[in-house]
Amino acid sequence: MLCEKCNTSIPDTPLSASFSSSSSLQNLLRAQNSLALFCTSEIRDIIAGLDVDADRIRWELISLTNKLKRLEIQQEKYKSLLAPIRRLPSEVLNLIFTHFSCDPDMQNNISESFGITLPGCSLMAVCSRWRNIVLSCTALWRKIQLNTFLCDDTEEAVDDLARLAAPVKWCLDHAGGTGPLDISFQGNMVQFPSRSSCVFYSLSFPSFAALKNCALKSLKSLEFYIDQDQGRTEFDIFCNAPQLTRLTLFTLPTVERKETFPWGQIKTLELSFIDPNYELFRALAFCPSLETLSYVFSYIYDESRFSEIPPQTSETIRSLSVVFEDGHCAPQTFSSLMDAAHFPALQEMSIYYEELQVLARDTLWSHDKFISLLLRSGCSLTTLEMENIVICNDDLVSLLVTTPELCRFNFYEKTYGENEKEGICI
Amino acid sequence: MVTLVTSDNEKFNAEKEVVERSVLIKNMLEDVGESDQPIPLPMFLEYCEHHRGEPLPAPDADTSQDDTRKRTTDISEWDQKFITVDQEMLFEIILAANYLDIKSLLDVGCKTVANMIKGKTPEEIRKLFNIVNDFTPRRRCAQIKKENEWAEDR
Repeated sequence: MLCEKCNTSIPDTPLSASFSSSSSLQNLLRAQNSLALFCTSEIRDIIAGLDVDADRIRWELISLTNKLKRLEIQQEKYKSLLAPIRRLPSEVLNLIFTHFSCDPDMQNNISESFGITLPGCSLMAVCSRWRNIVLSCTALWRKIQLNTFLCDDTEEAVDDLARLAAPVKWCLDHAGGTGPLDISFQGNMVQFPSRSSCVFYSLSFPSFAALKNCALKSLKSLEFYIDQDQGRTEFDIFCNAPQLTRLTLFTLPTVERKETFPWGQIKTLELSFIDPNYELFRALAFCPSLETLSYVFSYIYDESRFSEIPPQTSETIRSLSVVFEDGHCAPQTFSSLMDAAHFPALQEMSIYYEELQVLARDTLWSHDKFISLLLRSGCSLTTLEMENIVICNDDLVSLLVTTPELCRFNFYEKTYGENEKEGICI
Repeated sequence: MVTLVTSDNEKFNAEKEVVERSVLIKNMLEDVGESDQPIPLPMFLEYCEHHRGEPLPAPDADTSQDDTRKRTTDISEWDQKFITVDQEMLFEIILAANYLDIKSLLDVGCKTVANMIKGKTPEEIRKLFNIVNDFTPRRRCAQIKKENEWAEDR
């Protein structure tokens, strides 16, 4: 059959009938002759119809997919209801979080340089139940490591520092009013010493300002490596910490700034970088209740500055630990110090020489002076630790004879001019 | 000797000294006195047997004792082997230790879970324990973001 207008061959059957099966459509597609013009409109209608069908199916598919997702979420929720951890009562979850907080890696780190990491916040974001328990678990917020390494005094740097106040306050707000706080401050407020006075007086470090309104009733131990001798009054907040008994400082403040800490109640004092005889004397004078003192000789000391060493007396010191990091005069100074010392309550002593390898033997250990200190003080040493000490056998025997109450003796010998030998431990 | 009966009616005989590591059972035995009546309880004998003779926490020294036992997340080798079980059993042990008031076993279980969540993101923790995030988007945005804005800014 031919078309009257264009003389082209047209199928005998209506076009729609040709689409009734895929084989018919296939035959049409394979046909050598082109379709008549009137057929194209019918094909367009068919295509439009198919479009409608496709859209309908597409929407149904989307709807079914959404329904599937909803079902999967529902299923997850029901499965979650059966999760073993849900059976744990809140007090057990609280105990888990308390153990979690004991890990040194899981303490709250608030650092200007390295950002803010509060592990409790991760736990808080798990679900609403965990969130409520985490917020009431005070142990998670009691350990704070605050690093304030300010690199310059630009406004941006100060703004960066100001951001530290909020997380510090957050931790203290949730740390409870009774449990012990474990706060460690580290940092030098200013990196450039030549500009330090300007920066110190122009900055108002916000964290400490924020702390002013916080209770420090539970603070027992404080590590404080910020120079407190720069006219900054906000550090005085620590005077109001009634339980503060352990203090770790970079160095002692001057007498004018003495009121920074509650010295009268300090029982344990750790100092770095001290001016040996004078600082030790001041430490003893500052802390009348001191029981444990440890300090590090870490720079060369000009002994000529103090012709007479003041008396180094403490009726309360039970434990003394001395580390000689470097400095050629430190051992000699310590020897002189022993002449002026009187520690009747001393029970534990630890002496550690770090890198003193090139010195004359006599400068390393003054046996007679040490024995004299023990006899003069009338103390009963029960623990003695000596590391890298050069001491002859006779002196060692004499030392043991003088300390009959000794229960624990750790001794690591540094043989003069030779490699270190493994010591004895009695 | 004391006879213990599990929830599925299995009977165990154990020495009094061993089972008294559970404060609950210790109190039960004290209440009941000398009796042949069996005591029902879940599995915990192996743990108590291993730790037989170790000092029990003093009942009147709760606070200081708690500080001491919470100080570390380290678990002894034996305890670690004992507690290496699937999650279902781990939480069963914790629940039993809590119910029976065996503080040392409860600590081992809790430390194990604490170690499991260390260093994980909230999503990883949810996946690990099959917990659903039940925060509504509104609450998530408004409340949490506000609280942690100092962290979000960084």
